[in-house]
Amino acid sequence: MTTVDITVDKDRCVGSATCVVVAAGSFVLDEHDRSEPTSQAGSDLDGVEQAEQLCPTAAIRVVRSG
Amino acid sequence: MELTAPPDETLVDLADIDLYGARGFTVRDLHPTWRTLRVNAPVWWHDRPGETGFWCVTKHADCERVVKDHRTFSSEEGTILASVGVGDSAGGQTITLTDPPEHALIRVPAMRTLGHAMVQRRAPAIRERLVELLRPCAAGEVDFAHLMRRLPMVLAGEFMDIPERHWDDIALWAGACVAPEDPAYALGNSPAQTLRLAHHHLFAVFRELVRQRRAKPGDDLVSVLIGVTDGLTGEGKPLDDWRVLLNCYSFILGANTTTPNVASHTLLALTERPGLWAQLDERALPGLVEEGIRWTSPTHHLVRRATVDTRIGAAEIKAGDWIAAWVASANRDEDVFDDPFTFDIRRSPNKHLGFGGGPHYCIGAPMSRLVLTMLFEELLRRYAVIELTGPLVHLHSNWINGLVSMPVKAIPR
Ligand code: HEM
Ligand code: SF4
Repeated sequence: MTTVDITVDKDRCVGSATCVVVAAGSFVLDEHDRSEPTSQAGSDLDGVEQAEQLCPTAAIRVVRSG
Repeated sequence: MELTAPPDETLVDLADIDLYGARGFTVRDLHPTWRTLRVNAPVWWHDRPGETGFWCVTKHADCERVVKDHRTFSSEEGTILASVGVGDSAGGQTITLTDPPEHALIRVPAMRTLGHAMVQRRAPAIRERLVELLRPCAAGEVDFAHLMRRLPMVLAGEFMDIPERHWDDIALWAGACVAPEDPAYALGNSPAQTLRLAHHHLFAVFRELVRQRRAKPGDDLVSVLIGVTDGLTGEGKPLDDWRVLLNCYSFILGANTTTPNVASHTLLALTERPGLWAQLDERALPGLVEEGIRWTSPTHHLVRRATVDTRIGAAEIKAGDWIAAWVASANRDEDVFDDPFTFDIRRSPNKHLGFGGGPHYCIGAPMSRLVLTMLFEELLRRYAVIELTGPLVHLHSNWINGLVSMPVKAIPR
């Protein structure tokens, strides 16, 4: 089975919220305006991959394995 | 502006501070002023007799909050000091001058043409144009600041598909829009007339581009803007021509005000530290570019307007107050950077606010990082040394830290 690992590098994240807009429900900003993936992120891979591409600092990584 | 390392004890008298008058910014290093504010008055009311005053925020944490918290600190009425008290006629219409959620209408589609994947795709064409741009360096002496005016046009040529015959004009007019007081950009008899002429010429070119792209759309940003609709739900009317033009202006200004000055100030920092060039290799270049952006901080400030009563530190901010976040000061904040006045290409982490932060974080950041890294790669490959050969001329502007003239000599390997 394919598993997908979605991570946000909080040191790179600048809080643009682009991911929150293009993959609604899959990312939220924490209290320091840094993004983190939610538990739903795995179910909207299209959105998450768009977020990965559009993040202005390349902070999002999507790794498929299996 | 000269970028020096003021001795620790250099503090200035608060009563003498003028962060509005453009003249003060031409040569004099304002870092002692900003440091004084960070130490003695991190949230300081800047009075302007007879005109609207504004808050000055100089600490990194406060500047970051102001640019990120768009609900409290709005961009809709202007984002530069010139807008304080008078607003901006393009307010609510452009990517720069709208708040979320409407901001995403333009930001997201535009990011599709400016994101990492697209930038990688355009990289070979950008490099080709860049190499062409650098050809005059081979003659030995060249005015590097002048040459770098074309650097953002190398990018805009790609992402907006602007024909090369317009590049020099657009770069000149964009410069005039930023610093109409500067003699280098005096197109008219007065700053106001210079500004009118520059706007007139720029919008005429944009109008032509829009006409062409309506007839024959491409994958460029102008075509993208034409396709944007104004409804958050996915349905809505296309932007009218005026809004498309205003947004073209935002992108051209965003690129032209910043990239050339980072290039020139970074090279200047290298010429001032002769040993450093010899230590550079390709792996060191991303760090050089990042530090160059922190060091230059091409936008001295970013302005916002409070939407509600709030507090920053001990200061009570009233709804309607204007706030200048001095990101150039934040980028020398002793609480965030070790030895902030040292130009350190190995600085890590380097959490500078040179590209801003939050929803308006520079959309051109991926492209800028790419082209600036390429620039120093190409220079390093060709030249053993680059030396300053004449006097520097700094830009007259309270907004942009710019170099107008910087004669250098490049000595081939
Ligand atoms: C090293 C070069 C650059 C620096 C340091 C820089 C800096 C900045 C900063 C500080 C902001 C935030 C403005 C604010 O919050 O009010 C910004 C926004 C922006 N920049 Fe850049 N910029 C650079 C290059 C570029 C380039 C090459 C482009 C061309 C696409 C560009 C286009 C823009 C645009 C359109 C915005 C507004 C984004 C928005 O409001 O969402 N910039 N830039
Ligand atoms: S798009 Fe990138 S920078 Fe913006 S909030 Fe998401 S992870 Fe952070």
